[in-house]
Amino acid sequence: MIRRVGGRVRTFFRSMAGQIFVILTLGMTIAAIIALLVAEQTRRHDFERVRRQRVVASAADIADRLRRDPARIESMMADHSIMGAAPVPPGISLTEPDTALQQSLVERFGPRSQPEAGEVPTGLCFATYTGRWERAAGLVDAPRPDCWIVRFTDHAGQRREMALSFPRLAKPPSTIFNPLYLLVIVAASAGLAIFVARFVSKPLRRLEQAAEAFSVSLDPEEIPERGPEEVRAALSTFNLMQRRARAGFAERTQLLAAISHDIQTPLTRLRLRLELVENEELRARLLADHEAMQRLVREGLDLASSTEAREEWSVLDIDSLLASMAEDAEELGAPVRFLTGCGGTVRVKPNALTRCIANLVDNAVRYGGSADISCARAGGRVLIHIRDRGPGIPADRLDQMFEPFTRGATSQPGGRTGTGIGLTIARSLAMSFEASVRLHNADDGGLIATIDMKA
Amino acid sequence: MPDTVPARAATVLVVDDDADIRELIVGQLAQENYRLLSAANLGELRQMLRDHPVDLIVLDLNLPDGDGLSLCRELRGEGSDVQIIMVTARGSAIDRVLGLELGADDYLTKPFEPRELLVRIRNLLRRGRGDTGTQGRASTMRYAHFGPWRLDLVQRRLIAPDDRLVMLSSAEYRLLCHFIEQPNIVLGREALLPERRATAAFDRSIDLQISRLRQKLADVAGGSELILTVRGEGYVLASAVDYS
Repeated sequence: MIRRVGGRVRTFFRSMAGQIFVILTLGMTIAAIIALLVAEQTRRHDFERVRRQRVVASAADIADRLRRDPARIESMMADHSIMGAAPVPPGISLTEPDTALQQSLVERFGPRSQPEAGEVPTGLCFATYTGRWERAAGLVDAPRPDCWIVRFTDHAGQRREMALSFPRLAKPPSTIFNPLYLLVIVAASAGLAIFVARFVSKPLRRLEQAAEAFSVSLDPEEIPERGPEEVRAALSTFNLMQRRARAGFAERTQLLAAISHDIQTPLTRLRLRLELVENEELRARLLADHEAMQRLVREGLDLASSTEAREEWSVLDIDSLLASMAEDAEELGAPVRFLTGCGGTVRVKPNALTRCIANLVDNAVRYGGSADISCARAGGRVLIHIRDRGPGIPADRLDQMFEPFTRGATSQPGGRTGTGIGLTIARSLAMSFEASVRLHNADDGGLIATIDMKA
Repeated sequence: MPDTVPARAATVLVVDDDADIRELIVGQLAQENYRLLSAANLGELRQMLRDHPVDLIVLDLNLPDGDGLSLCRELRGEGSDVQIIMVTARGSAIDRVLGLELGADDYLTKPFEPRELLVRIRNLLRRGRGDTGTQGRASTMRYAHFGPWRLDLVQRRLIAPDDRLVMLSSAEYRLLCHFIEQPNIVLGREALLPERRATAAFDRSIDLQISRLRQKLADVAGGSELILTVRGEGYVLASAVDYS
């Protein structure tokens, strides 16, 4: 069970839909996280800016007051009676001036103010004034205020310095690594990825199905040309290819049919004239030659007509067909047996199937000495096996046997006697009802021909 | 009434556009006791039919001034009961089914065995016109209905009520044909196996064939009691037979 699920997952990720899914999901998730990080950075930056603006605003306020009434404000500052502004304790130098803040101060007080500013430990703002904490309840663990020291030259040319304190601004926590956030991003990406993967792979799947239909059937339907432009173009090209292939095939078989057909009249004359030959021995030989020629013509025509497959589809009782074929062969003295049936019906072109089996049985009897017919159902397919007890065919030559005019090795009993198109006809007939024919050697000797069709 | 075959020699008309073939067939048939005529095209053929009483036509399908199929239909349409053997090259547009449906009595493909043609002509003439009822049926009717089954007389297979095809071996088909030609009549072994008349009485293979046939027929509801055994006499098809 687990292995099957694992297998399905592997298949999914090997499929195009799976790969698109992975790429899109990962890509969109990463892009969303990067975008969030950038937003977070901006937020932090804004936060710092707001903090500095407070310092600037406060410094400007104090500077303004100092300009109006320097003596009183200075004494108030020294007295700590202005909240958030105090004189700088002596002996403090700014080791880490805040350049961004200084820049803002330059903008505020003009370039001649030569400001120096920076954040310093909180204690420096309150160094000379302790005990405040002791006078408030519940503030022990409260955040300590921010403390900034600002020095600048005012418009009167006097150097001012002040320690400014502010309640600490709590920076809101980052939401970016909140699992809910990540979950939403990943889920949305995955959903979109599935949709896109489906959307993209659907026309491809249709194309694949059409190609498969084309490979097993000679007269497949054209695929409807729907979808985005590129897809329509691909489907249209495929349809064109399909039409051309079919036309080429039809031309070939028509040529064969025409030749075979036209030879029949002279062959008929020849046959009738042979009756007039008086020399018995000569006549027998000529008749044998005539027979061979006639067979070639017949099979050529069979091959030509097998690809047309004009026959109607019918539902057929499969065992009755196999049994009656075996009986007919037996009646003619051929060692053909019907071993096991598979019951039920199949939907086929009955005459094409009959001829296909007949060809395979004929081959089995001719090259293998006998034929055993059996039928089995497996995985939604019906398999008809025709088995002989002959020498089989070397594995590397099995596929070749379906090519027209390929015959078994001359050393084989019966080799070279056939026309070499029996199997080609069988395969072509099978294709006409969407079945396939395979050959393989049995483990314990002999050749098995299998017709594989839809149940 | 096969006994009233006319005493005069039967007239056979050979129609083929190939002069050599025409002459050769005529030459072959001349050894038999037939009156022979020949025609090269449909015009000559019609002329011959007007001038002479013709019993059987050996008809090539591809003629210069028309095709034999339409002539065949035409003759049947006029109610002519002349026997027709169609001869055609394999792979031509028509097939056996169409040929027989249009009213030919038999069908041969070129190139054929001369003896085969002779045998077919002899058989058809022997069957003769005395048996017109059967003839008219055989040449235009395609299906014989009996019980729940239909027998396709052209494709030689059984059709179940649900249109499922059930295939018959040649022996089974021959057997079934005997039954269908004489429904509700008890048939002995000799009647069922005329090709082995001499030994039929002792031949057990017919029992095997009957049992196989019964098995196939019993496959649908109402098909199990169609062929009955009459002890000591033979078998009977217990059903009416209609044609369509």
